[in-house]
Amino acid sequence: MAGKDEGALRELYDRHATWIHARLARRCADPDAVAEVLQDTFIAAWDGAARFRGDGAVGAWLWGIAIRRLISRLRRRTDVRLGPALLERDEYEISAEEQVLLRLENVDVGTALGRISPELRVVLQLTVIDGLTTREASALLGIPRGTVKSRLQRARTSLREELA
Amino acid sequence: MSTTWHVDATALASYAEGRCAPVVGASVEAHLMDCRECAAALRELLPHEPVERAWHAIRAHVEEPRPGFAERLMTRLGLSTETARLLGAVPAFRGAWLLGLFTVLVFAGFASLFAEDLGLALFLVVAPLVPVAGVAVSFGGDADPAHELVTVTPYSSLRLLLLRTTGVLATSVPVTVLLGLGLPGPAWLAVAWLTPALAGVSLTLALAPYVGTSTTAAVIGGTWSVAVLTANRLGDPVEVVEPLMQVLLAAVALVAAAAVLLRHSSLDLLGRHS
Repeated sequence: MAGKDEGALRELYDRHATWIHARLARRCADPDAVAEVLQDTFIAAWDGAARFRGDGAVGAWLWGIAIRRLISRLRRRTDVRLGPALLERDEYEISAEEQVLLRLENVDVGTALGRISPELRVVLQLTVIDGLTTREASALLGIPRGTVKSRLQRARTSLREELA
Repeated sequence: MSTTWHVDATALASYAEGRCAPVVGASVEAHLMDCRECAAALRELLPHEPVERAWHAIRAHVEEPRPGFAERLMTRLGLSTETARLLGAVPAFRGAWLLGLFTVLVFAGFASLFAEDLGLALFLVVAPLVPVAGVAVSFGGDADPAHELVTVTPYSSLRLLLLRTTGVLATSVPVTVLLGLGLPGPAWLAVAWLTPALAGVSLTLALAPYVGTSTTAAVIGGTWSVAVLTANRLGDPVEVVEPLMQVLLAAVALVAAAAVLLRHSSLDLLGRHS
C-alpha cells in the first residue's frame, strides 16, 4: 500500500474495517463519530503507509491509529457519549452461555476480571488491552491522570489477590 | 497470522450485538486484530452499510490529486485551500516557468557583469518584462491550464485577478531584486525596474481584454526594449529609470490600474454572465 494502490487499500479495508468499526462502536456511542474516526483512520493509514515499518501486525498498527483518532475526536467534542466498553458502570447481564464461556475460556483470569469493579476494569482495558498510555486513558475517560494510575494500581493488586 | 483457536460463534454473535461481557469482548477484540477468518465471520454478522459509507469518503480522499509543493506551502502559510489551489494553478508557479524565469535572469545578470553598459541595458530590458511575461502566461486563456477553473470560480473577478497577479509578482520580483543587487552601478538600480514592471503589468491587465494577452505583452515588451536600447545608444541605459521616467511610469501604472478596477467592478455588477 506504500505504493499508493487503491486496490490494496480496498483489500485492507475489507479485511479490517468491520472489526475496527465494531471495536470503536464499543467505545463511543455516537455512530457518526465512529464513522468519522473509521474514515480518518484509513485516510491516515493511506497517507502514512510509507511510515508503516512492516515489523508489527497491520491490525495493531491500524488500531493504534484508530484509538488515538477516537481520543482526539472525543476530546474535541464533549457531547459524544462513550460506548458500553468504557462506561464505568456495568450494563451487562451476563447470559448463561456467557457464564459458561467465561468459565471455559478464561478460567481464572476471566472470573477474576469479572469480579473487579467496572471503574478499575475500564482502566485496565484501556491501558492493557487498547495499549494506551495513562495520559491518553485519562483524556479519554475525562478523569485526572493520577486517578488512572491509582486505579490501575488497585486493579493490579486486586487481580493479583484474586489469582493468588 | 493463522491460529488454530477461533472465537466461538456464540461469543462472536454476542460481541456483534454489543451485549457481551467485558472479558469476552476484550478477548474477541484481541483475536480479531490478527485473525482473518474471525474478522470475516464478524463481517457476516454486522450491517455493511455504515462501513461502506465510510469507504466512499475514504475513496474520495484518495482519488483527490495531491496538492503540489507550492500549494501545500501556501496552505501552511494560512491561505484557504481554494485560494491556494487557484494560486497554485497560476502557470507562474509551475516548474517550467520558474526555470525559464531563472535562466533568463541569470543570463541577463551575467551579461551585465561582463559587458558593462550593454549588459546593464539588457538587465533593464529583461527585469521589468519578467513579471509582464508572467502575467501574460497566467491570464493567457489557452496558455493557462486553470482557465476553466478560473472562469467557474465563485470569486469576484477582480479579487481573482489581484490574487493571481500577486502570485506572479511573488515569484518573480524577489529573484530579480536579488540579482539586481549583484550588479555594478548604483544600488537603487536593483529596485529601479520595479516601476516599469508595475506599469507593464497593469497595462497588460488593462489592455488584455481588448487585444489579447499575448499581443499586449508583446507590444509592451517591444516598446520597453526600444526605449531602453535607445537610451543606451544616446548614452546611459540607466536614463530610462531616472526620476522623471519613474514618475511617468508610475502615472501609467496608476491609470491602467484604475481602468482595471473600473472594468472589473462593472463586470461584477453584470454578474459575469458573458
